[in-house]
Amino acid sequence: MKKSVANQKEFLLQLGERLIGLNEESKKEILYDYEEHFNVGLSKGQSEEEIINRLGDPKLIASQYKFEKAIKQAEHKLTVSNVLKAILAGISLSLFNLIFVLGFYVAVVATIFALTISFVATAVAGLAGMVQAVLPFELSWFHTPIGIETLGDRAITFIIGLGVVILSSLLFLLFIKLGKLVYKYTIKYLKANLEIIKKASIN
Amino acid sequence: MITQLKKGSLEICVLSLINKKDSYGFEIVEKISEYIEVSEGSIYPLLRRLTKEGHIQSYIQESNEGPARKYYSLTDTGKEYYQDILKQWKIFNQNVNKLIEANNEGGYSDEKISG
Repeated sequence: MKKSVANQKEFLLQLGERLIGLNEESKKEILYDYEEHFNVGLSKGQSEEEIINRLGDPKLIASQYKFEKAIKQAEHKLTVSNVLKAILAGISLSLFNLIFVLGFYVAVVATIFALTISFVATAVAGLAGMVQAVLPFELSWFHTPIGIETLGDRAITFIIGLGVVILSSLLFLLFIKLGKLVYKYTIKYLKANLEIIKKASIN
Repeated sequence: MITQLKKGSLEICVLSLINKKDSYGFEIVEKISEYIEVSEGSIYPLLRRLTKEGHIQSYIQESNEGPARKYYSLTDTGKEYYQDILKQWKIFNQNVNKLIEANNEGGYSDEKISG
């Protein structure tokens, strides 16, 4: 096995570096425990190498503290981001493998988001159509399918543009609602699973 | 499978040591690794969690022979909690053993100790 930690200093450094998201006081307290552990071990005649080997990987240790913190955070304030952070921290500890489900979920959320944005773009296009219908000249960056040669053409262009704006806006609002619903049920689902996550972590 | 077993039992092992006498981190770690093979580094996060949950508390004690040590002791709620999980553990242990023994001998025992 490749030795990644050479000495006590490096161990504490690696551990400290990875305690991301914890406040300074917590970090100090945590590092104190390991400093004491080294001090006592050395005073009992163990070598630094032996102590390090027995303690294990500082990265893994840091993951445990981060996981506990994430759980506390999620319990304190139940938001999607907090619970997702807890899940990610748990995954890093190989407590459970939600990568597959999470991947699917992320794809769904991303699709909803992307479509919602696209409706904005479509509405803008509709608006441009309406504007083009009343302008005396042709916009260089916007091309209408029907053109603005006759008044009839202009009227049609305007109506189509208006229709697109209305339709896009309605779809936009619908998808916003859909997004809120997804959020609401995500929270419910994650809340139900938080207990499972907690139980899986008992060590 | 053994990893999950270890995870569940580590807490009760730590609490039983502290229950017997106030102990500092290093000796808890040493004692436990005499019996079970664990990454010793996983014990301090456990101690921290138990402290946050109010089951144990700590105090620093100077020593003539070596460095100052942080001693852990059970709180009142911690003592109650320990007795509680100890009882659960014993029952669980007995029932699992009974089931295993019954299956290895070829018979089936209905005597489950309830609790």
